[in-house]
Amino acid sequence: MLEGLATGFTTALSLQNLAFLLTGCVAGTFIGMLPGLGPMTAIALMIPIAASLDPVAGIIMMAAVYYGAIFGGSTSAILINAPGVASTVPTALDGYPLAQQGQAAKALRVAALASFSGGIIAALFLLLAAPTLAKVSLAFQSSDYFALMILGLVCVAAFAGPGGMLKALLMTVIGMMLATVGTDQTQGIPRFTLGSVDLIDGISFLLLVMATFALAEALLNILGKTGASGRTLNPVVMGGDRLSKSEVRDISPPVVRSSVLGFFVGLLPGAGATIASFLAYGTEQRLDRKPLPDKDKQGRQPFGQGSLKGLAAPEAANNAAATGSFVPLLTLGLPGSGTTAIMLGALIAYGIQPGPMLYVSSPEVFWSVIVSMWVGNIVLLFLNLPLIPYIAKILYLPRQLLMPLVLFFSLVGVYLVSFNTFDLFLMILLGLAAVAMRLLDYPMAPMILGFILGGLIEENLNRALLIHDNSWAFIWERPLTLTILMLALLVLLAPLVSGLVRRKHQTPAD
Amino acid sequence: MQRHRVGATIIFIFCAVYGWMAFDIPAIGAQDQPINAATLPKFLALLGCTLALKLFFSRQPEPDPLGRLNWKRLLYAVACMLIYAVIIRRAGFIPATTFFLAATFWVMGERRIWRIIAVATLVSGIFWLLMTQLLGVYLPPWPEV
Repeated sequence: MLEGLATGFTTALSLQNLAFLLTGCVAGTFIGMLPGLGPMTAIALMIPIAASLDPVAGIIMMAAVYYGAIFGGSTSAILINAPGVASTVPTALDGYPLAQQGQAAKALRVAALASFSGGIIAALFLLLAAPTLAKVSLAFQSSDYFALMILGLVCVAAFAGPGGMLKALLMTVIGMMLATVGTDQTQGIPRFTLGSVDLIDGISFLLLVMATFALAEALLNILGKTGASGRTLNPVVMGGDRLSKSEVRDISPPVVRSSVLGFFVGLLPGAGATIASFLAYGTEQRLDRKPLPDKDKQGRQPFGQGSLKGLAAPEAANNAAATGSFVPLLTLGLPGSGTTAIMLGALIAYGIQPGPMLYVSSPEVFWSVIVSMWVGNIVLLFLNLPLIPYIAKILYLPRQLLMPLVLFFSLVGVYLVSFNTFDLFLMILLGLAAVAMRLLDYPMAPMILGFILGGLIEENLNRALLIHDNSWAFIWERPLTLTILMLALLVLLAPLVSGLVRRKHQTPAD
Repeated sequence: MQRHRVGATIIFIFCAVYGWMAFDIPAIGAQDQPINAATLPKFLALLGCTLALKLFFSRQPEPDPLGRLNWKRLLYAVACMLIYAVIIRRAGFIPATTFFLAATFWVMGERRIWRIIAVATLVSGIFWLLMTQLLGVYLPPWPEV
């Protein structure tokens, strides 16, 4: 492990990779700060640039964009009460009141410190858990991977929230359908190409991500769905950012608790940063022994009115979960969230297959991603924080200039990879379809997961059948495959069973 | 009709058309294998249609109202993108991008002509310079004769 760490540090701290890490952090903060544009859009927008770099630099930059965007999202949540993504909603609950009380700088510092601690603690767990899990998963065969990917898809759908499971499952199926467009990998037969040469290679992952996230997000903004269109905001009072000793003592336990909680929630496929931050906020609110709606003697605000604990807890959990979600990605090649699915797609585009073999075949990628998380968190704390008042100026730029620029970067990002105008037309079509589905309240992340895992599922199933003489018996003869598939079935049926039980209990009362 | 039912209907039609097209995929040389190039698409079509029907007949909480949406502005923005896709190669990168940015700034409600021209020209020029000089990506700046 020490040798791996040394490799990671040497690679991540090389001058070139440090420069990309810095660029990624700052660019991620910029994009993540724009209301409506979350980490997924940020990574999608950066893929064309990352694609021109070598794999290690590209992955380091995208990981940096990821946590930079999370940090940026928190900034807009605190300064203008516009959480870029769902996971920063709890941040706005206490961060925005603090900014309104003229303590924006202090709120940003607490958010940055909590994110930093969450990231560092989770990266430590990642360091311990990932190699062990990678070694264990070396025993996995194609059939087990097939089962694992089914479990991953089912988990994402199951965690979609009340009433959302069917929609999430449908979007996953649509993602898998889009993955079947193009030449079949095993037999070389063209499928759903409509006779077009441009579709022989299938729909590019970059095009789909750009269309459904960056382009769709900008189009929704143009449509006026996100509300802030055309509005120029007034700068808030930043105030001093010094934290007293008692304040540090006050927020330390919630930060540690939330970091550990966030990491473990992040490990679960589909749970991710949103559940982690809400869970951490709820837990700390319950643990708080100050139910009075006023300030206490030490000037501490209650939850919802500018509590530093209420701000620190979700921030720590949020960042820890983001790090935690890298464990299944790096060790099993299984993306636990939409963001890690995009990362997986980018890795595959580089010719790197994440999974247990990544630890063996490309240790420099594996370790430098882990080390870059530490370095990235340090960069965010020491470089981004002082720059926030300047970076935050982007929030006060008129939307009528910003949104066309997002459209431009999305279109050009795809065009520069293929130089094919057909891709632009396809992208506009998919972007409009994504807008329609978003307006109808259908989630997009399961579709991306379905798209990425669809091809892999078919590939692993084909390989498993080939290994087992074209027999389906591997499903029940291989205990590991059977266990994982049973687990997937359990996850799929659990909400249905609990719904039935609840209905049965309610009937006599009615 | 409830919003989730509109979505379910659209997806059902999409899945049905996809399934119908899946029957056109030839299964050459794969008779002895349990799965072929058409197996997964047929399964997905069946699964998609079933789930869409289940969603259509399920009861879902009514989501928040959409509010007032500016469809005209979206239509103009899409038109600008389509024109950009048509002219990017023919007109060259710099003129096409300047036109696209200026047009979308106007569509978004910016009315200060000098600001529109300055930002559109600067962004397309600087981006072209970055791509060609720094990243070594060749982009024809003007129409190719």
